[in-house]
Amino acid sequence: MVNLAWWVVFLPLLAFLLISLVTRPHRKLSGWITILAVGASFVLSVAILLDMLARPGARESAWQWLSLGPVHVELGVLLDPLAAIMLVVVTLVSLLVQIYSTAYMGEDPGYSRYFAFMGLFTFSMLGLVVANNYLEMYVFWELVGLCSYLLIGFWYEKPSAAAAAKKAFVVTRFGDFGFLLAILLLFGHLGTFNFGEVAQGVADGRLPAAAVTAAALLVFFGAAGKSAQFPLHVWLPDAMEGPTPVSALIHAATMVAAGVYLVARTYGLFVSSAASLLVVAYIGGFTALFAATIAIAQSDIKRIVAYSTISQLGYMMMALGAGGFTAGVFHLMTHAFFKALLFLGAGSVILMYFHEQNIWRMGGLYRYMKITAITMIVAALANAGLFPFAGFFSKDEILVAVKESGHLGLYWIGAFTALLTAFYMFRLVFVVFFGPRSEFSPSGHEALPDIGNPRPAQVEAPGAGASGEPAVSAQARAEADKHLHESPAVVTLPLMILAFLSIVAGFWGWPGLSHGFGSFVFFSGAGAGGGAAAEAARAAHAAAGFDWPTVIVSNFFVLLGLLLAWVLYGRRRRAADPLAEILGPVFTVLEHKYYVDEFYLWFIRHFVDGGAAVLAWIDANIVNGIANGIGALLMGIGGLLRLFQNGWVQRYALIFFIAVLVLVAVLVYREPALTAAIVGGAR
Amino acid sequence: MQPDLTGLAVYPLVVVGFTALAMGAAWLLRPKPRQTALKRSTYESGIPTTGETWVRFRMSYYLYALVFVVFDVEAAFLYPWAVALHQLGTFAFVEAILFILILLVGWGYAWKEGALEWK
Amino acid sequence: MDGGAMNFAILWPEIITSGVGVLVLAVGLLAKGETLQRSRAAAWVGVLATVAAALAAWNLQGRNLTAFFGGYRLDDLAVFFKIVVLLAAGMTLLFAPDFLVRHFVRPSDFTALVLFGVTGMMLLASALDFITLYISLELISLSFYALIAIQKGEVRPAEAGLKYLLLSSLASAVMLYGMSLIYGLTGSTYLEAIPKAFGSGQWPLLAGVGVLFILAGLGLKVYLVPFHMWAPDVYEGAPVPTVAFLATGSSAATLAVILRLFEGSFAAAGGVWVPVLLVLAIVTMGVGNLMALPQTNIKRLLAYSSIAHAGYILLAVAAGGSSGAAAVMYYTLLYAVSTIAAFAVVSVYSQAAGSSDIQDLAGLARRSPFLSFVMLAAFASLAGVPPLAGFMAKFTVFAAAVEAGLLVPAGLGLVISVISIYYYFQVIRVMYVSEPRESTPLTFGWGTRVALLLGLAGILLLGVFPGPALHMAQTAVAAGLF
Repeated sequence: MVNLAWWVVFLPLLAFLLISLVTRPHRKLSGWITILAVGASFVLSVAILLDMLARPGARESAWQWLSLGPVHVELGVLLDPLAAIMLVVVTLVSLLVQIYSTAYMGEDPGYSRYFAFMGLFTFSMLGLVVANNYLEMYVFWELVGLCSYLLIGFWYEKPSAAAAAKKAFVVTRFGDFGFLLAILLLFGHLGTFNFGEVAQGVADGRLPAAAVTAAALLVFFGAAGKSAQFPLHVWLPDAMEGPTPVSALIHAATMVAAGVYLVARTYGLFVSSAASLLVVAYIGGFTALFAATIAIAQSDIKRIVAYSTISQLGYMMMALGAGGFTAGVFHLMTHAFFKALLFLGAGSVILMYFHEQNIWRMGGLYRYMKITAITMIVAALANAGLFPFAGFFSKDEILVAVKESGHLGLYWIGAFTALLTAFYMFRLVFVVFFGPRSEFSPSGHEALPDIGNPRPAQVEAPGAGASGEPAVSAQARAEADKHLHESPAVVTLPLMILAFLSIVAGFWGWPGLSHGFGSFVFFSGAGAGGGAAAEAARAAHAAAGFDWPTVIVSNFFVLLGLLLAWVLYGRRRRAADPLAEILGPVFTVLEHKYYVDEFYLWFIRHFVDGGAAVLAWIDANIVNGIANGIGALLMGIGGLLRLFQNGWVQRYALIFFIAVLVLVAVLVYREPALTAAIVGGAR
Repeated sequence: MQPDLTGLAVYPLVVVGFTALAMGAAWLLRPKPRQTALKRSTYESGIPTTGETWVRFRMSYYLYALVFVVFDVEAAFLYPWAVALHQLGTFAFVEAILFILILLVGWGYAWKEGALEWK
Repeated sequence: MDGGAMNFAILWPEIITSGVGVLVLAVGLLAKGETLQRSRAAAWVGVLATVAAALAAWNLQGRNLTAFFGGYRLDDLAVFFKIVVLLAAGMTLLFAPDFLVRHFVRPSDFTALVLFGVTGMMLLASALDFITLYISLELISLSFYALIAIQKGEVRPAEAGLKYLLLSSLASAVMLYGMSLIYGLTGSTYLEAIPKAFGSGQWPLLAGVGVLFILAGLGLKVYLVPFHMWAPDVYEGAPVPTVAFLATGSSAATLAVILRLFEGSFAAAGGVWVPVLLVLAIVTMGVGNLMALPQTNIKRLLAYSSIAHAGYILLAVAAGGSSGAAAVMYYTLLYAVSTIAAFAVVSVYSQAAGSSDIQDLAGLARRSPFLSFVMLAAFASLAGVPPLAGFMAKFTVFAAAVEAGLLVPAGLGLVISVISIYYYFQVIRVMYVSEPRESTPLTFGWGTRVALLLGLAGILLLGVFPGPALHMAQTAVAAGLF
């Protein structure tokens, strides 16, 4: 079974190579190659999962990749329930997204390129999932980042897409260096990269407590970059610039899931350090609330869903931080289904509107696209976490886990976020699918544009429409109605499959269910799953029932949020957000995402660019000045040197000599303590 | 291990002392005529100089000089080789011939490039 | 001195390159009606010579012997660096003719000079006494004085050549001074005799001064801040193929001798140079990466990038040990491959644009997808994106630093290296996003195409399969430095 995992990982890579080297000119064929490869991967993943369900436990296979002195780095596969679940989720979502893409990207000139990148992206994520050591994971981790760069910037002709791609890459790279630092730290202490060996070393106490905390926090820093946790969340909403199916893949199964998966994979580090768990829990909780408040004030359909992703990722991190390993992973799985669904549904709407994304220019779509509307409502309910949708079970487990850990503040944050979640999801649903017909109709676009091509952002301030509604003639409206229709089957079929999963996936986590999710995926200390720990977990899971107060509280909040949304938006008459008037300036702050982007930009402009400017200034003024000053001095002493002082090269030479003199001076007057501090014990 | 450096220390003293002695003696013994403009000119008995001393030399001069230095060094190198040729044997002979051949190619290159023409 | 006799069989790589170099000059001398186009053949002959020399060097692996009365060392370390510099020379000669012919420079002259330069580099990698070391270094420098100013009648290359001449002579002078100090104290010019002369005791202060002088002299060749000042000016002024060879071959050979000197002869004096080199390496990374940010000229940007990479390599030198030395070797190889690939691209586009402004790269992706893809791979590799070669190289360096207990410098280096992502991707963005100023497709010859493909293959293969190269480096280090 372990050897099957190699095929799961490498089939998509094969598709990538085949497309980019051979079949690139043949559009349809290229698309089918990737779909076939990922489909095969999915079938194999299911086989692996079934095998894992029958015989739970960790299996590992590896071959020597390179040897670095005494240390050997492996390229290996580690299969355990966690990895098996993720394999199925990643391949399934990827497969559905790609089937969907055949319609969504159908007219795009870069069709083959798109599918090649999708294959590479899936390959990277699968490699990350099965990696058996830190270094291998890091390599795939970076590959995922690179692929997201390529895909977010897929429409690179569009400056905003290119900028968003770069932002995503740079911000996540910023987190990555924390991860790399953690790897080096662990390697420096334990001399190994293998997950199992590191976890064993940490459990045996071969690492000082401070180093464990530092390593855990650095790993979390990396995870926060990829999983868009505050304050490294800024790239994710901008990543909407990519094609919508890419957003679905990034948000549901690949890029952002990688961060949560990393924390789950290296959970041994976190449980050994209470401080790091606390940080993870609070950053997660804060992010959940923070992103949810932003989401209620956005007007771009994809941005609303994007902030919802950040918020849900915050939930997962909070669960992991509170010790709810199973709850976090379970939410990762259910979230993958309904978030993919939300994005694909949003894509279906956007597709019909010819790439219009402002929800205030939509409305009343329910009549025209029933399947999209119903599946979107299912997704919204699952995301909000209403019984009996998938999101309910996982969110409930998270809240229970948080409650059991004793962080009551976090518990109420989580519950309140559920209210906000229900509110912003149904704000979206009511505005887009119900209410009056949109006054912004496709006929405004004159001729039918080619769908794949990006057009300049037409999003304007939502408040602008309040005073003057665009005058649309009855004739134009009638013309426009002809264009409003349900999306083709390749679009709706994935939607329906995902909707089905969004409804039923949660039942696997029914508390007290024998062979439920909790008895399959759980954290069992340093060693592999199985044995006494497994029995204990299984027994605990079987004994557990619903935590009724939590069930009541969370469902109450969800219904309250739903009600609020209906009151405000249920019978909408005009293209403005009533919330803006209610919240006043607060709304502006939320709409601008708390000005975090603006702050970062300001910071970079004043400090990072400033650093370079300072150096350049020092070079131009101080170094130059010193050189000229000394030059002037020497000129006074003798006229001879003046003959050489007629070019810049003289300045360089002078600096060379000064540097040599300083080196010698340092040698002569060296301070042993200082030397020791610099070298830190080496040599 | 350390060589006796006394000789080295005495050497600069001798150099400075001898120079001072010679110059001083010349200054003492030489006739001291009245200074005239003619007396102060660069070449007292030659043609009068024109222009400044800071003139730019032609590029060709440097090219000549470079080629000259190369062959000067070659000649200097060949002296010890010629002296020791009997001890060194045939191998050293072949080596030196190779060396000269390589220099000849370089010389031919310089010639072809016009380095030896005074343009 | 028991150092082995004259053994010409181990000199084949040097004999081939110098012989063909002379031959190319001689044929150019005799051939009637030599035109620019016809003399392109000389470059191909030069490429064949580097391939033959590389094969000869490959055959000499595993010998590990000292010859020429202790002046010359043939070991796997030397062989590794010989192959690296031959690779640099060969790739440069592949793409150079296109550039040279357009600028009215005869490729035959260029080829001969490159072959002489690479001979010096190979000798330097094998130098085992100060005399051989100095002569080889001067042979390299002399070739570069001419190579930099090879565009006759152009002002900028001449200025760059003069700058390099002056500063390089200065460095040589300081280094010679250092050597003479050490010679005065030990009475020997042989590298292996130096540690023996001082025994296990404390090194005298004067020897420390000598070590630092040598560090400064060699530091200029490998862009150690503050001896780096010449690099941006020379990179900007000199012809692109020259810069490619200068950036890779010259520093690779110098790193070979730095390893031999500092990890071998001066290892016992680590207390003198390790703290200095550590601080300078960090400063070098910082200055290189920060100064690269505001650059608008791709050649200047690559100069600062070279400086930044020198910082990483020298961190590994300071870390020392077998992992440190192996990291230096692997890094040098990857850096050579990536940098030459980048310069090959710069060479093509700057011919067409007539300048080397980054803005002129605009829309390269549409004018030539292949060129821009090679550039993307080269820059992503230099930025250290896995699984490309650059990542493995950076990783080996930082792992060596951590292994040596240099946690703080390694952390600082990592933080600084994050900056580099920004300016590399700035260039990539211009290539892929900006509107092209002209839309004519870029054309280039077969030589350039082969060089680009070689670079691309190297970047990918060295990253995905770092094993063989790393293994070679490690065996070389394990065999010892003398």
